[in-house]
Amino acid sequence: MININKISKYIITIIWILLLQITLFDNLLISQYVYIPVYLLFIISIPKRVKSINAMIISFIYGLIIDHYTGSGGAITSALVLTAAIRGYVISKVIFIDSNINNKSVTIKYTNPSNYILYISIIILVFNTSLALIEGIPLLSPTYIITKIGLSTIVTIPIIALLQYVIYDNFD
Amino acid sequence: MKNIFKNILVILVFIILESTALFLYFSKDKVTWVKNINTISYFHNFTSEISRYFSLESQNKILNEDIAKLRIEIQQQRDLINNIGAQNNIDTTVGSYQSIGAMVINQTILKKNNVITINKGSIDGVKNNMSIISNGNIVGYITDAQDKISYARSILSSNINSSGALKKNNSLCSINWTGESPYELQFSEMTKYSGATVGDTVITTSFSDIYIPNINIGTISEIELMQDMYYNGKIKLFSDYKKLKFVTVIGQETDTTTNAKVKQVAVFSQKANTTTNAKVKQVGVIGQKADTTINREVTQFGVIEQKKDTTTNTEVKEVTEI
Repeated sequence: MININKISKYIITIIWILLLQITLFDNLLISQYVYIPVYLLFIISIPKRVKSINAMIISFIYGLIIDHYTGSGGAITSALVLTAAIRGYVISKVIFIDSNINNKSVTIKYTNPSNYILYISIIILVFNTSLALIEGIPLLSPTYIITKIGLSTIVTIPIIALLQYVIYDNFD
Repeated sequence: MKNIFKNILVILVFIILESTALFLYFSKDKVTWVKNINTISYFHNFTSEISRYFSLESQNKILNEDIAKLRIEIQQQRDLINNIGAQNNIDTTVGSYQSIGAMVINQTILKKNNVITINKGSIDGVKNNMSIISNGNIVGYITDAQDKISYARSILSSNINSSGALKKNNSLCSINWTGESPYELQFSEMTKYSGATVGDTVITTSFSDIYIPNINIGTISEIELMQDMYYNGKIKLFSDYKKLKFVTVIGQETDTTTNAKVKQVAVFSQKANTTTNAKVKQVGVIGQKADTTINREVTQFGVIEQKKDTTTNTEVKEVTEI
């Protein structure tokens, strides 16, 4: 049965995250090597029990919205779909989530903090690598691409870890 | 068995979704695959309103300074054009450009092909291929004018190759963005006889299909002589893309009777002729306008030289059509 209340919560969360991305993080030029994709938080937090196919379809639609807004074609969609595809595998290897709470958003509240940081680090690294390769090849130098992936990942990890406290604290 | 089918299904869905996303990315027009979604227009405007609220005072100050500067520049250009037009008996009507003030509601600067979104659309008169300038400096051109908003390709796009010229003597070069810095473009193939040096201003040219001519791009920041034939180097942009808020959309007006573009452009440069020591004025493009009889554009290129006849000690004007 469709839970309207839950769907409304997801829509509001998406709007909040996109507003943050567009009004703040897209205008925050720390360095040409740093891109902070906070919209990844939504994909990171998809509950464990959501199947890979569903997660990929959600990511695809979510990515199309972001791509349309930022004018980046399908680059973000492509990177998000890949991230959603590996998400389930990474969760199963890195985080222990009790089966009683696997319908809840994947946040630091329901798991071990160090494992959660490892989980988001892998997801952010995969996303940034995918995005940088799609957008960077064959134009940019390998040094530029590697530096951008590294710095973007390092800066994004603490920001997403903090934001999940703010946005997802009372979500479930 | 059930698991194998399940895994195959997951892989198939992944391939379909990835292929669709990559097709959208590598297809020709990356901006226009979703058209006229009003909710997105409202979302654009809503987010831009929030950003704008916090910068109103400083932007107002900048705008007032720009208006004052532009008024002076317009008057100087009008005087110059009228003087040369009167001296050479040519029609130098410059006024065929349509300009629309707009606010930037979204932009990217860290991507390979960057996009600017403005809050004016086709309802306001914005059309595809119009140029966008900010503080008199080129910023990009419109690629998709929707009803209420428009998308523009930023000059910071690696898939744009345009031409530029030295402001001091109109020496041409190719210009492109390497994708590495939002503050710099790369120029190439500028002849070594151009006398280009670090600090020289580079402007857009009339040979570009996408930008209107004579708009500042930036100054040369690095220069290197290649094979003792031509210069390559970098151009430091005048526009600070991080602070881009208000822009002007400029394009040629369309003749409503012939539906053809009407463009009359005069490109002026004035330099000293080293042999006669007299000033030489050159007009690059005499005029480009619609021929109403054949309903197509006619371009007239020519050079007007004003020399000093050393025998009679009088000024002589020569008009040569190319």
